[in-house]
Amino acid sequence: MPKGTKPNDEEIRIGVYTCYCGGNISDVVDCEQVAEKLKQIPNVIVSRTDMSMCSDAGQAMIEEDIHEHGINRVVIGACAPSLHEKTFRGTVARAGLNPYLYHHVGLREQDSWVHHHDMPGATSKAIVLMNAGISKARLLEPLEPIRLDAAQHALVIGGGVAGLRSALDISHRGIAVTLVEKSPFLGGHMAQLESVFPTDGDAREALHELIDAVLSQANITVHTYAELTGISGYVGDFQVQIRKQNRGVSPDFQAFDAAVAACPVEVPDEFNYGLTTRKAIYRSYPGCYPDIPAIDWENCTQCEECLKVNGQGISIRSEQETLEINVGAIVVATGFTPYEPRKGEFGYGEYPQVVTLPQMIRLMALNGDDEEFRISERPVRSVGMIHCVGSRQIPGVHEPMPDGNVNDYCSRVCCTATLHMANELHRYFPSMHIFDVYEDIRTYGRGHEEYYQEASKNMVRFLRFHADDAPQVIPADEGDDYPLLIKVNDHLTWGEEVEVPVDLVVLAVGILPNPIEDIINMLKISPGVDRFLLEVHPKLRPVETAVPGVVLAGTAQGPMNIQESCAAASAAASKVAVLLAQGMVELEPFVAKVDHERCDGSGQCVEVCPYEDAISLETMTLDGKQVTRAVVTPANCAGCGSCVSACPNRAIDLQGWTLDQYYAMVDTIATGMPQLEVTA
Amino acid sequence: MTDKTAAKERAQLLKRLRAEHEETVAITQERLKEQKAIRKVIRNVMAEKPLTIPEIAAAADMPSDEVLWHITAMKKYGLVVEVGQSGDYYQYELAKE
Repeated sequence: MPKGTKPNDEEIRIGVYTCYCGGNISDVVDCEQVAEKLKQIPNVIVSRTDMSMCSDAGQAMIEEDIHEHGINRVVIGACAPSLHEKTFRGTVARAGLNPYLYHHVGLREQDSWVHHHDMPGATSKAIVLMNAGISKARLLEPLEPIRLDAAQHALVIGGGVAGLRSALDISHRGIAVTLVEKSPFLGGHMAQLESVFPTDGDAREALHELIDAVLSQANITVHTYAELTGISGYVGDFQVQIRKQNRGVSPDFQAFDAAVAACPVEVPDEFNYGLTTRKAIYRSYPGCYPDIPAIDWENCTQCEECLKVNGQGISIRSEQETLEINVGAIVVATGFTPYEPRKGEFGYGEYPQVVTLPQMIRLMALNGDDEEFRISERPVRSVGMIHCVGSRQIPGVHEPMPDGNVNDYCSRVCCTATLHMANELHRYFPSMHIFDVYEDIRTYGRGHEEYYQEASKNMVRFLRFHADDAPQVIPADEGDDYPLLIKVNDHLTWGEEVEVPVDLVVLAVGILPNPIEDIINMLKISPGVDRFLLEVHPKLRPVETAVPGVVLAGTAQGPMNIQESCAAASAAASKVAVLLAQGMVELEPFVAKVDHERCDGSGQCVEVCPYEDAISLETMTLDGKQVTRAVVTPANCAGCGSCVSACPNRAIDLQGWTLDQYYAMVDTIATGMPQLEVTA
Repeated sequence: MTDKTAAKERAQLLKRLRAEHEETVAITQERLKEQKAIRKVIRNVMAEKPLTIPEIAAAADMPSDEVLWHITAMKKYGLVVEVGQSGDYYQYELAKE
């Protein structure tokens, strides 16, 4: 068979396009020379350049060539394929060609950006890379995307503000939603807030509005006290197991106050971050959803005291039921947990006058309308607030957490939250002295800087420390008017040592991801080095994970304020809606394909496959004989190629990236073509 | 299939593959030979103590950008490790076998 002819005798006619990328490539690579040289390669019918191949004009040129010159393979040298591969597939498809008869060569990231010091070398490399692409293009075959039926039903994991927002937005697109919340009550950390920046609106009021909207949607099912226990399947068709814990209290139970009074168990109340206690039968706060109390099974001793008050409506037997649902997509909105300072860190856990910012918010709420704010039975006249506790830590300077991690990231929300608290304190207690001890202040959001300006006007005193010279919280001398001193070398006054006498120290603690290893393992999603969940690409594929059909919402992905969490949640909902709205999902066809004639059923491919249910051995009839052969489940195959390398018979190949295509590219790169040498 | 038979089959496959891509194999082996010689020089100058890229470049009489290229590749494949800093430069030493 002559080179350049496919088995079906189709003549290979290749169109080659070298993009200037607005100068990103052409400032380093001599694109005109590249295009000229490539014209000499067999099967290349046209070779052109353009300032911006992705522009309407650039794409129109390619379409015109396909029509006028009968181009049936297209090679484009441009930016990274992750940026415009899909754009050009669309171009090729619009011209009536199979979209997979196109190959993208990354000339920007792989060449011009890394060889800007060597223009002839970069031009030479561009020719080699394009030539290799042409060699692959000769062997391209038409492919069809994998089409899977999709259940028009989404699972949202987490009933905080991000999960609720996502659920509501998805349901508005007519897609059913099951929302699963691990705790017995909805709302997450937002329920523990009072006034919130940047609107100074009431957090719970806004939250309840959102919860009411979610509950009013007939196509949203909410399961509280429930968690994900198992998952199988793939995008469009996930089989999900949910374990639901009974609340132990029926909806019509009337004697809650009496039952609480009778319950002898007293445990730290997580709603108030351990500042108060609650009983084993409890509600997180008045007005919470559901309004039905729940029994805390970890702490209930089953003493039956609550039954004596009014046995009807209470069951002190812990029961669990397993629900199985079929969903097409999953939103992970598992939220965050505030950093808990270790004992002695800025006096935390040693002095009762040292609290975290989340605790301070609860203390303010518990203080109600009192005109005086007291801590440890003393009025608070002076308060010091320390920033960056548990954030922006430096290995070797800050002590790692018990799990060995050092939180080197900025938690983003704490600066504005601290300034917001400073202004709230000033508003309620105008005579209070407020000291803000900071490393840097990052009021990055719209309307956030105003809190800094207001704090300055409110006479909040600012002191600045360096990360390796952190402030110290020490007890004041006996008989002093104030119990604690914050000792800081203030870099606003060139390192002057300042001692600030205070009644209360507030630590602006950072944000940690919730411990969700089980969910990470079940969904096979990835955390980053900061332990927050990773999206595929922050700009090109925001909120998407590498697992098709699994998206992220809110602080599971990184520190965010409520506004940002809601925006991310809506983005996640949009992704789900786009994915499921058609009732069918399309996946790229770059998956393994088995040639059953060559396969001998050795199973070596199954052994090396790192993905669950992607390839298996099945018994089938071939030429009238019962045989065992490898069979690929395309939806579970990630196209990693492990099976290709393991197969002793070369019976497996990756569609779109076959071994022959690789060989052709490697041969081209290794052997080159003398006539393509760069001319000075 | 026994391990011995599998190894034999693999060897035959590789032999066939080499024959199919004879020219590529010859060219790449030549390049690999050149690269091995450079790596040997780099390994020799690094044998005694951790060194920075400019120190390796000076000792090996090679341009520092080439040394950086080789050290980066060697680091990627676990042949050298980063062990500390000297001034503004990182120090590298050969990974223990």
